[in-house]
Amino acid sequence: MSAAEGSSEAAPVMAAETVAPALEVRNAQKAFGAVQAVAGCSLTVPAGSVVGLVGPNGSGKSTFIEGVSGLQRFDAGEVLLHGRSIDHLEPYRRARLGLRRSFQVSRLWLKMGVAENLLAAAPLQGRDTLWRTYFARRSIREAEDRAKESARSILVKFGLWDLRNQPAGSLSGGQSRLLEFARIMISEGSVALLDEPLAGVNPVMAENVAGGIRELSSANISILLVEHDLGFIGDMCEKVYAMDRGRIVVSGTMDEVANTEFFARAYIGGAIGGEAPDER
Amino acid sequence: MFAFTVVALIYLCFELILVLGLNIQYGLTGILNLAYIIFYAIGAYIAGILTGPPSSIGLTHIGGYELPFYVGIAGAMGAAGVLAVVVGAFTLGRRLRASYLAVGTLVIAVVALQVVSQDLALFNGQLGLLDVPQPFGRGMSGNGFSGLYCVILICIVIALYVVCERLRRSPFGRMLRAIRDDEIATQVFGYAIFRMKLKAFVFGGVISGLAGCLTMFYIGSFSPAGWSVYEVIFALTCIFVGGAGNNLGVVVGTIIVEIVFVQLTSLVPTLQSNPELVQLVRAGAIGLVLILTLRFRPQGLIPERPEQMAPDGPALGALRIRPLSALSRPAGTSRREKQI
Amino acid sequence: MSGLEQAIGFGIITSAILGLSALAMTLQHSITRHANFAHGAFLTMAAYMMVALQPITSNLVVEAVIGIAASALLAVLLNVSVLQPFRKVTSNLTILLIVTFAVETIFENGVGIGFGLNFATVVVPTQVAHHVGPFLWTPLDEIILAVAAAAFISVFCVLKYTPFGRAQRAVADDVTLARVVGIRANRVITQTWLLVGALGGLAGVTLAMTTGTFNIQLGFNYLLVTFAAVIVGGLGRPFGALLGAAIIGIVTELTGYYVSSGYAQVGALVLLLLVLVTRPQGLLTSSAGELRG
Repeated sequence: MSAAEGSSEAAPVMAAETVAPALEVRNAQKAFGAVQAVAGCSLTVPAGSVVGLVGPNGSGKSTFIEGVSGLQRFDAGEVLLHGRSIDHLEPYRRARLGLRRSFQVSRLWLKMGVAENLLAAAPLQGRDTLWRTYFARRSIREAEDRAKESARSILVKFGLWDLRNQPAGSLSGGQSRLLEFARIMISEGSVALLDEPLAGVNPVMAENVAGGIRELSSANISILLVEHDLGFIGDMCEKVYAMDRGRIVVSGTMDEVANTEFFARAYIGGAIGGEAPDER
Repeated sequence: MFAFTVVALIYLCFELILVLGLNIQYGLTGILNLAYIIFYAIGAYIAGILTGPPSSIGLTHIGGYELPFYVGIAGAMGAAGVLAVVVGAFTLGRRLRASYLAVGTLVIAVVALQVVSQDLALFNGQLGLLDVPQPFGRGMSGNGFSGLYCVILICIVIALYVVCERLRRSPFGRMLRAIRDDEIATQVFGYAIFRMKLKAFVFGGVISGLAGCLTMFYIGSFSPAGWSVYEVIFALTCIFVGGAGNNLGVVVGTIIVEIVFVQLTSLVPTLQSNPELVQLVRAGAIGLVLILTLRFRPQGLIPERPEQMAPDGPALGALRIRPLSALSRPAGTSRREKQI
Repeated sequence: MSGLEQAIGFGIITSAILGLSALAMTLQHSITRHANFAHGAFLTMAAYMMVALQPITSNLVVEAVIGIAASALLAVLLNVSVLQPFRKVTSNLTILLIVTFAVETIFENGVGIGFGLNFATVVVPTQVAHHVGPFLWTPLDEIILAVAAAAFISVFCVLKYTPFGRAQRAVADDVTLARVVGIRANRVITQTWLLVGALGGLAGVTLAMTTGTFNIQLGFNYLLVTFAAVIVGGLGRPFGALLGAAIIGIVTELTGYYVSSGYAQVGALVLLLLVLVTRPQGLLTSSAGELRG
């Protein structure tokens, strides 16, 4: 794949398997009044991969993520989840088809405990009805036990076990991020949009966040990772898209795009539009 | 003295039922429903017109079927439920910001108050319903009836507490709390939040209707003076003083607020120039308590605690707790670590 | 001179007074971002100040001015003693809303303790209505109309052309940014509250003089129609407040005329409910203006 101007290309040619890409966006557009925040963006996240999205502040990345997750609506364009069109669906319906996300500022259920946050994110298996709460108590209890088992192992996996009974509001930035990832994992999502996971995280914890993302990936969750830190993106992602002023300007593997003019211009200090990375 | 205590307990029970219902809506789900009191009112009125005598001169109202009291209870709770579905569908589905929801529910309450007060044909306007019979016929003396009613009410309150506590601890209750803490995060995990909020709203509304019906059966009359927006402020104060969200907290809060305010403010002298001084002082003091609580102890006397997860469990017996630093190793080693 | 035209004539006066209250609320919302359920206190304070001063002076203007000043001070006091301390400990809008409701409860009952629950009056010289075109107005009505118009024009000019107005709009937009460019935000906020209280007080005194008798619920009852005017016209826009006031004023009088006087306010409130569910951003904001969450 060459680093070409590809703002309205369709998905690139897939490999021999006919597995639909986990996520595919075609020509998304979103305007706010006179400002065209997203001006025809297309990208593809192949199943099982980690794809990066970089771009300076104001390039439209956040609007793009909001549109894919459904909290905003694109004016035009298509969003396909596992080959299935979701652009007319409400956020919760997209989530039921497997879409997950984390937020730039972590959105946790702050008054609830860390373990409770996981349990609340565990798949429903019919536990969500008022009727069953009173009249099918045994099946609820069994489903709860299963969810608790899952929660235990996931808490350990993300290093949150010792914090399990504390309110989620007491966690640090990095711990909050890991809890977000843990929730995504227990919820059995298949595609995760991670919006600047390093934001608000102490640089010392960056490795833990990277580890958390790798855990998600090894659980077969396809990931679209939005970040400023090019080194981080390079470590984690097989493919990178760069966005500027609402369009995708280059795409390819990190090696391919690192030599383009766009990156050379912006790569002063290793980050596009964000702070320079700390010494590591 | 005994009679006084019994009556005080009866009114305490009415308030406890009201507060438990509002706690489901606000404490558990985060819905500030300033129209909460209209479900109480409809419960009382429907119970009255189902069990009470037909209209007469000077006491005009719809209904008056003189049916048995259990029909009254069922009708009251059913009517409150239907009204809650209507109001909830109207106000909860719109993604209204908090300010708008509060204004909207307040407006609904005030409009309901004005319409009921003015329309004589509906529930006899400002005077309200009178002469609604007691549930157990007229065989009992005043004190005997009060005593029996008090015992029944206490049983109802205990049963209701169990029901509400079961809801709070259930997965459904956990999801309501997630909606309360962050609605957007709950949405992106696949929950149909409107449906769940509506269920919580109706649950609380039905409980409110039950309170109204029980009040009507005890007092035998009911008018707009008995339900105003101030009642919601009073209930909210009980909730915040005790601890919003958890049922034990709100019960304790209600007991404290109700007893302190009933006892202390009845010491205020009745002045010629201002006969309603007691209720004014009471209402003003409630506002003050509410502000002070929100400022200095917003979590209440019994704060909500996170559900605790016990350390033991079959899957974890042999597992070493992994330190955070272990996450920075490449993904391939993560599964091997479990056997260490 | 049909009854309908007279009703519209009354509606204009109603709208003028309501416009004052709605303008006050719009200004307040622009700096607090949450609803103020204690807004009615500014009206009640001014009205009852006039009542309290009646044994001392019979000069209505003096009474009114002192009443307005009292409301302005009350507004600043509310911000300094209640809202600011709370904003330091929470950003939860629902809690702040409940706090203002608690303040309203305390204030209303406090006034009740002082003045009793009976209806109060502000004595006004007898008025003779005369025809102004199709409308039936008294000299007092005309004065109120003139004063209200003067108030609207001056507030608009202040907001648009004076340094204070520019600073106020900057603070309303983004307080932190305003401080960064050197605006003394705290001073601007205090002055805005003075203006809010003064406008509310002006609404209160005019209301007291036109309605004859009133009780401690004067302000709270007006709170809801004020919400109606502000929401229908569009939150955050001073011109919207006036437009909303005009609409609500007319609707109120028409409902009173066609249905019955007891239901006059109900008509306005039903309109508010309809707007809330169909177009909560009001008539003047574009549909892209409303954010979720």
